[in-house]
Amino acid sequence: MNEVMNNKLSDIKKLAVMTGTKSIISFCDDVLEYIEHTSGTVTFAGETGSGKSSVINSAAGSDILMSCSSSSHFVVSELQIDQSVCIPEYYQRNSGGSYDKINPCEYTKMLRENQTDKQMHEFKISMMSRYPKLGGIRFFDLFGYDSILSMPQERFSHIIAESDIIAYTVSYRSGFQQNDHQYLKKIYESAGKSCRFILIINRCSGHPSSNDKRVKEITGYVSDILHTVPEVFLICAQKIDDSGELLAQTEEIRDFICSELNSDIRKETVEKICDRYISELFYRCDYEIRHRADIQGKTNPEETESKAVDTAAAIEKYIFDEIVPTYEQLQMTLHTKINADAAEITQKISDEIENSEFINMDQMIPFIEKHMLPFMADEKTCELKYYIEVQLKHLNKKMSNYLSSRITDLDDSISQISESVSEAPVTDYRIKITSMALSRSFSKYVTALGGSGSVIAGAASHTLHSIGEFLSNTFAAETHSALSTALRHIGTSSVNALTGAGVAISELTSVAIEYSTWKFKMKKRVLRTTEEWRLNLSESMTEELEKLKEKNISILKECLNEYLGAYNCDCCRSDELMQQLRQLEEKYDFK
Amino acid sequence: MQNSAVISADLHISFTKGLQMRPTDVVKDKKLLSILDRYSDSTGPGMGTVLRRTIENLINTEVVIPVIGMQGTGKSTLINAVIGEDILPCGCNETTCIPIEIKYSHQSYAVIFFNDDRTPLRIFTHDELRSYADNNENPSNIKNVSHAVVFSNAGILKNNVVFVDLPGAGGLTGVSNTATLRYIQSLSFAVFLLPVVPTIRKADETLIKLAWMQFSSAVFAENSWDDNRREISESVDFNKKVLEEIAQSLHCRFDNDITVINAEKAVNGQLENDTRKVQTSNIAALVDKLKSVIDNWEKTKQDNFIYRYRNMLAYCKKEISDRINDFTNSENDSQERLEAERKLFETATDELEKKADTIITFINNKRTEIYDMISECARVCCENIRSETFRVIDCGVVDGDQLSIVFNDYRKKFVSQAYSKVLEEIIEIRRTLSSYAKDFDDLISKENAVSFRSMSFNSDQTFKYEKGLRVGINIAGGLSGFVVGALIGGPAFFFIMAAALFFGGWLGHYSYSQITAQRAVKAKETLGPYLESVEKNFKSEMKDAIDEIAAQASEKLENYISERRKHIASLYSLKVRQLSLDNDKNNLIILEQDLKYICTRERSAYE
Repeated sequence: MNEVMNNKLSDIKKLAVMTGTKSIISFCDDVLEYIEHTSGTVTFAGETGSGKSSVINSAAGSDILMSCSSSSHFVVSELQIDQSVCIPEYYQRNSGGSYDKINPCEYTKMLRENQTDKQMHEFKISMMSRYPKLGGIRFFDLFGYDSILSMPQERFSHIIAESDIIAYTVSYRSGFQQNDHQYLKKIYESAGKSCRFILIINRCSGHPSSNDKRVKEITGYVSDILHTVPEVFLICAQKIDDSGELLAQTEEIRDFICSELNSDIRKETVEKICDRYISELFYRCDYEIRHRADIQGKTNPEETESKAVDTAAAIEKYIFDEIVPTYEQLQMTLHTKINADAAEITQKISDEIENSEFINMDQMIPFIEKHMLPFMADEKTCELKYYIEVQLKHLNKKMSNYLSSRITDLDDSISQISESVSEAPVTDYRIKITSMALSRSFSKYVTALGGSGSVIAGAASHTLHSIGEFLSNTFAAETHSALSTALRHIGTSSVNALTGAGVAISELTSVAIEYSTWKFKMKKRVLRTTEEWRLNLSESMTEELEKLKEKNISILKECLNEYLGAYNCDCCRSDELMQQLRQLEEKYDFK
Repeated sequence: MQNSAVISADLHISFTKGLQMRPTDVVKDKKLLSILDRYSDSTGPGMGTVLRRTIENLINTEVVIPVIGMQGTGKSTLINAVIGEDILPCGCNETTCIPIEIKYSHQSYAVIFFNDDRTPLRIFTHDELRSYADNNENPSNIKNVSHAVVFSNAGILKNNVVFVDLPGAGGLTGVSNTATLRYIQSLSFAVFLLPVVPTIRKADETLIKLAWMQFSSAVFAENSWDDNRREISESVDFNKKVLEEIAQSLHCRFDNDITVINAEKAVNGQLENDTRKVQTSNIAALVDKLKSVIDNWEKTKQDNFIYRYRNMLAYCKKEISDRINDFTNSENDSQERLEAERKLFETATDELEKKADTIITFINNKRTEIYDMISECARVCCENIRSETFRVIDCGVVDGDQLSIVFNDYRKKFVSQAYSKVLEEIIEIRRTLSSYAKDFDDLISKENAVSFRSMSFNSDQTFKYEKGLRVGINIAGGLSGFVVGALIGGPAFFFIMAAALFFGGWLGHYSYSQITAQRAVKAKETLGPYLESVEKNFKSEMKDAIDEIAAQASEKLENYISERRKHIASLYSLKVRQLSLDNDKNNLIILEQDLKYICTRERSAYE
């Protein structure tokens, strides 16, 4: 980012902080985070043992990531290339999202000891690279699929969504595995629209050409899942200390990364996006400040206080009457449905087993474990999600209307309390606000990168006629986002629930089965597996819905509080803010 | 003698008042029809002829009401309950395998029609009917029946009402295109039958959207077998929410009413003469609802007829009056009048042509866009199928029935995902197109010169696609209705979509045949052509459907404009000729007589 933009940003940031409004400040944080990483993010993913860490070390020119076969369980390492740092600095990410500085030996200790506690740990290492052209870029080293399942879903999706380039590593010798399949699907789900994919086939024996059968096979699998053909790089098997050869091979990868991230189009787009965000931040402050100025002098603190109390009471009542019962009912119905679904799945599979021949037993096992069961479970889960979606969308709309009308009433009544002393209201400020989604997740903006023209996904200019509309828009966007996330988590839980349970079926291969009992044994296992699926899914659905309910209630309360907050502000502050606002407006020519 | 000024005032009268005119009376009025013909231009059939045809259509057109729903929801039972007669074969699993129409007749019999050239067969017993219509007795329609018509003397069927029991979605295998197409062409509104359990699923959404788009209105009913009250109310509650969402996305209207009935109870109650059973089945509510929708439909048709009729009378009146005036006016004045009229009509036509061009350009651009989207969807769909199937093959499922099942499971899943996507896009386009069409309509309705040609459309189109609310009062209702309808697609479109979704037959002769490779590699190779065929078929069928839509819409617009041009030409030449002929005193007398007659007819058209 250039000098001018930097100054602009820091000025507006000051203003934002001055307003003290929670949503503005968090928006500001999101913008800052985005801008911090505009140099580019490259994420490496792949199964344990595919050799990711050595590739990153070599490509990034850092030699710092631990590359041992089991060390990548439950650890995500972020490598931030910063040419100004002489000695590598180590940080650990805490639950609040910020980084605590740690000792290098703590890092190594954590890696080694980490197998047992199954907690996710994220580290960041800031250091310089042998290759200055990589300055500013950050690399993520994600762990294998099995560990992904225990990682907080949101963090995983966030990292993937923010990645400009995703490099997937597969070992030539092991080929494309079941886990790779699932892993890639998950990545595809969260990846941004403009994300570029790289396929790194590591540990190739000999020097295979791109026509090699296995290479083509692996590339084919990957292309089908990603629905696009990735850039393929082949790295030949090398001995651990023969780093010279490895470096030469990762040169190509490095070049690709640089040309992608430093391309003119990308630079231009990123700049446009930054500018847009900064403007948006300004307009939000603008709106808030003008609104306060508008009502300045119109209000009477006691009256406002009592209105606030009334509103709070009304919200409590609404929550009690509408929201809570809906969720309760939903939970009950879902449990009934899942039970019926599980029974149906068991029945269908049992029938299939019953109707088959002994000679098919070997094929029957994978057929059930790898196809029938997950397929049907997925089908049922989709229908459950659909059910939830219909019910909750309806509820969200109701809540949104409620919010809107509540605020409009409040607005009207407060305006009427005191005589209007202000001059003609500043009506224009309402039109300036564009209806970008006011949600926190920025990943969809990142997806616009690389495209031409339309930068902010779906930002249509929208005349919001009242602050009621404004806030209910926020509400709608946030609840929609929360709902989507919850649904996605439920989908993942279904997969997780099966993965663990499905082992029971494949175990059958190691047991000697005889003709007279195999069907019976298989059916029993299926029953057991389905039951476990049902229990796990039930549990996580209940959990997700509880979380969602709490989240929606808190969004509702926050929106109203924020609205009322404007009335409790200090008049002088208001003037000061207005002054600052006008200054910036002039300085940066905001219309 | 009335002068033109007064005539034009008459033309602007609001057309909303007036009693029902009986079309049957009008069609018998030979004198009127011949007068109308006399004063029409020569570019096509005369007004009288068109009017007669319109009335014939009106009287003879059937109100076709299909009952739509998934397999096994109880459609046949429902129809039996509504008719009040146990006329259709029904059972607990899907039984009906061919479309069955129920029409009015005071005699009781049925006729079986065949796909080949056999003469239709008249039958008289239930058993015979079953032998052709029941899935168990005519599995996969090996008897090659195209449809059956059953006659009943139930009151609700009078006035050309025809119920159609279409085999449940999924059971339509073996039904030929032409059979289904017949229904689609004369559709009015539909009855959607939903079960109480399960509630509408995501997978059902597409069928509902597809079918609902075809009709101007829909009646929703839920068939309960023996569910308890709570289950029913929860189900209705949920389904209403889904239907509301769908209605919004289609810009249809949903009246928030789902009638819950117990069809089986109704039928049993009727058989046993048990009025309490019949009452508690709630079938009366559904029958009432149907009656009122049918009445509305009838009223719409009548209103459209009256509108046209009055327009024709007004036009005729103007024509005659103009010629009468020509006797007293100087030749110059008459010539000027003609010129002015012609000029006006021409200008209007030019503007309309511009608008039509815009619409056609829009359609063509969209078509290209959609092509791209279809290709993309097809590609992604096949990649998904391949990816999943190969994964399962790698786990050890390599041959026989099981591999076929795997492949078909994924095929169904991903193809219907691809469909939904394309459908969404089409719905969007339809929306834009209908607003263009409305603009077009508005331009036409502003015309002062009520040209008879500007209202010339096939009368059946006028009623078919109107969306219930804006009821064809609009002079060009037919066009906009058609254009919108065209986008929904001619018959082919509906059929194709339904086919792909529910017949599961898309792979043509490949479907369900065995894949017998012994090894994984072989299996994957063998899969190749199947995959290719999925992709190819999806693309070509969808593109064909879109092409047909685009072609039909363009054709209609172009024809309309060209008819107007012809009219302009005729206006000029015909009148000029007549001007020189009309100076005979005798002609004047005839003109005045005709005018008088028309005026009396007009007066009664407004009473």
